[in-house]
Amino acid sequence: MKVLAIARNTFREALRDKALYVLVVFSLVLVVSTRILSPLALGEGVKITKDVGLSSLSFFGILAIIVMGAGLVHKEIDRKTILVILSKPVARHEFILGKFLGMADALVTLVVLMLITLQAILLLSGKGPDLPVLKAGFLTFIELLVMTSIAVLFSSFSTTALSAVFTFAFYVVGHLSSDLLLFAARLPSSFARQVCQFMYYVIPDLELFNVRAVVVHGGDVPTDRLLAATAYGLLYTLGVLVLAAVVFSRKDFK
Amino acid sequence: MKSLLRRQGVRQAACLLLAAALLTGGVCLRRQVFGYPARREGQELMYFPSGKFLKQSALGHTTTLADIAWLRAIQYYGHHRMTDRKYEMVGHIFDVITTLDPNFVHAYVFGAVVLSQDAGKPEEGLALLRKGMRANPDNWLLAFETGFIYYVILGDCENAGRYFALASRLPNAPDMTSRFAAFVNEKAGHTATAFELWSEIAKATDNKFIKEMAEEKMEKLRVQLRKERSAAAPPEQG
Amino acid sequence: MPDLNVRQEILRHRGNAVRAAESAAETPHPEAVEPVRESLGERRVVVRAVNLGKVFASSFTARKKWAVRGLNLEVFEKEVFGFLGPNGAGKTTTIKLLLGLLRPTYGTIEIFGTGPANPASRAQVGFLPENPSFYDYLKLGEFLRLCAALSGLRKRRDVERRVAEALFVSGLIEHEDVQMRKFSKGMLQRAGLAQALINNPRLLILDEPMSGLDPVGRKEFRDSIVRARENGMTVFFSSHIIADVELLCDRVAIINNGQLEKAGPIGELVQEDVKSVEVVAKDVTENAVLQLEPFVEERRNVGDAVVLRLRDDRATTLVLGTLASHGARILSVTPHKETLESVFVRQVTRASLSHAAEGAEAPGGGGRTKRGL
Repeated sequence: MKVLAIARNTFREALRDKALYVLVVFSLVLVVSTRILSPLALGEGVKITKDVGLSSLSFFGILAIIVMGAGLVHKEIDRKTILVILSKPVARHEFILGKFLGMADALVTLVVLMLITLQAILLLSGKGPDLPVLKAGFLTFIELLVMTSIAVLFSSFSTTALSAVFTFAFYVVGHLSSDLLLFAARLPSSFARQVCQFMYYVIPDLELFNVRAVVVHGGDVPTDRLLAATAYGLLYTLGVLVLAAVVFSRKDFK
Repeated sequence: MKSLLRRQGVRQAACLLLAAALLTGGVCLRRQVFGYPARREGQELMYFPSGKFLKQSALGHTTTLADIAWLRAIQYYGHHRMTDRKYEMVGHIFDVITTLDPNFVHAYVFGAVVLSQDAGKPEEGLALLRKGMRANPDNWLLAFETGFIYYVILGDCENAGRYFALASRLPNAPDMTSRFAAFVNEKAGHTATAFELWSEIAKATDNKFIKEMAEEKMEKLRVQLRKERSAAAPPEQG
Repeated sequence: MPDLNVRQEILRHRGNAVRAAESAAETPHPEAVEPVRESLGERRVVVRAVNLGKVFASSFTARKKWAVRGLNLEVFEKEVFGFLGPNGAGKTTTIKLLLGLLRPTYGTIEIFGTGPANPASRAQVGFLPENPSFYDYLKLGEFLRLCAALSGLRKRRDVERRVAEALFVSGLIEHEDVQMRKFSKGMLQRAGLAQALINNPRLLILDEPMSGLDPVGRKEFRDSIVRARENGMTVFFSSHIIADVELLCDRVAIINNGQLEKAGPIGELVQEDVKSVEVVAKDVTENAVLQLEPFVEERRNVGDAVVLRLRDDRATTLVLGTLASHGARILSVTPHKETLESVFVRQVTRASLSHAAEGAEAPGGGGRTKRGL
């Protein structure tokens, strides 16, 4: 299938991107090094390892998305490689979908590597395999998928730099989503209130994918919570991808 | 001289020396003006910013930031334990940690112990534990610790009994909680009860500072117990 | 540049070829049922653009630039079509419109009867952009396999077969596992042609294919185009190098400032223009010169000979007779057919003069200066 061919190619590009290697390696080294800090932690070493593992998955994940995703489409336009691709019988939406899947594939690799490393460390420290940590990792992956779709959307019409800025802005506001409503209530001007409310609905609530607070203390994530958050994430991702496909299909390549 | 400078190798070596001199100068200046980290007593506050927008700026990584604050708290405590035994910032630090991660039970426990035992501020310790119980209503350890502080440090048997009883009703509470509820209400042997309490506190945690503290206390109480027992023993008949 | 006689040969040959093709197409193939709208008289139309226009509006300055205006284009099956124009004339824009890379502001386009918005219109099309650049992190083989897959080839066997063929034809077999960032310009061009041919297209579209190539590269590329045509492909290429167009193309269109200036078979285009005749003679008396004045466009003295350029070739016999009767010695008589180059230059400068005049007349015309001749 043509979409898969493009996806495979995007994944290959990610694999050969040195910047991504640095991010992945750094995040894994960071997690492993928490073991060294463990004696200083007065018994909280395992919690710290889980915390750092899941946090760096989210943090380096978003960095990877910005590094890879911000220029995903625009780099091709700049270097004119897109002319060759789109001159083939490939539909515009197939291109966008292929690019997204390629990136998602790369993220899966990052998530799997991180979760395996975490589980290995936990096993070595004498704790058993930790299912809640896997659930938390899975939800973080859904969060990264949502952010990837946003990066793809911005990349389809914006320059690399602007796209990076917007994607990061969405990440920040996405984590402050619930506070938006609080701000909205306190602001004097009604215009500002409406802006806050608008942003609350448009920008995804990324905190819905954050179950770290529960998991690092040994708690579990109920299945319906898991399913609801996953459904929200996938719906949002699909919606944004459709939007990106529409925007991209109207684009002129000068 | 000019002909020497014209040679590229010499120019590059001179530039390297210049760079080294500038950087060294920078390091010296920094040391002069800002001092070593250990010397910045009054600036410790900067390690623990105000909690007001902390949660927001964490962007979802609240528990990880809490861990960093925890590590710093331990460094702070350890440092002051060795030096002046003054723990002025403890309340604030543990407030930050627990605001970031309200389910961090161990932080409430350690913070309360340090506040009550070392800093001499048992009221603050109790306030911290109450904050913990609001966020973790089903946690027996927090209730137990509250009872502990009431009994051992404040000598308030009534409240202690109340909290021990509460602890015993919470999920997964060990049997000893109800035993202590009973002991305290019977007012049977304060020293023995206190000894037992410290022993349980030490068992309930992996925290080496608390264990050390408990050992110290238990040693003192052991001595006192022996004195009491020998005082209570009937005098030997000639 | 081949000399005049060779060029004439080529033109004549091509004229014959066109005529031969036309007569061949007149006898209908018993099995083919040609839909009336597709065949325009003799052959099928592969590319058709009707009244095509494209404007680029820069959003910040709100300044509109018409890249293509009122363009009508037809490319027939199995011909080599040259799209000639100076830089910035709109050649690349037109090509991008044909490929669906740009959406037209107005007008219609059909490639094999389908609009370019439908990707299926490109199933039989191969494209080589100007100064191509490819994914430099890919090896050549990986890139060709990607292109094959995107062209719709599903089975692995088919993909491998096409890739192997492409590598062989382009002479890049040894470079299959070399990363494309290490390729030279010539190799990139060959790789580009390989990917354009990967799906065995019926229409090959090339944008300035020979720009930046050395003479050997250009010769090789010209041979490729001829080979493609022999294999039954239609070739459409844009260029500003007239010599290449003259050598290869059956039909030519000249575009300038977004508008089509002239289009048609090369033979017609070149013949249309004024033929002049150059007579070189010695011992030409003043009397003779005076008599010949109405027929002579230009008179030059070269050494002890006189070069006369006649306005009209029909006057040649008369002029020769007059010279002879005045005792002049005729050294040579050379009919000057206009070269495509001079047609082109004249078309372009005439057009830009009139555009400049328009610009100056229009309110706020921007004060464009007339381009010097």
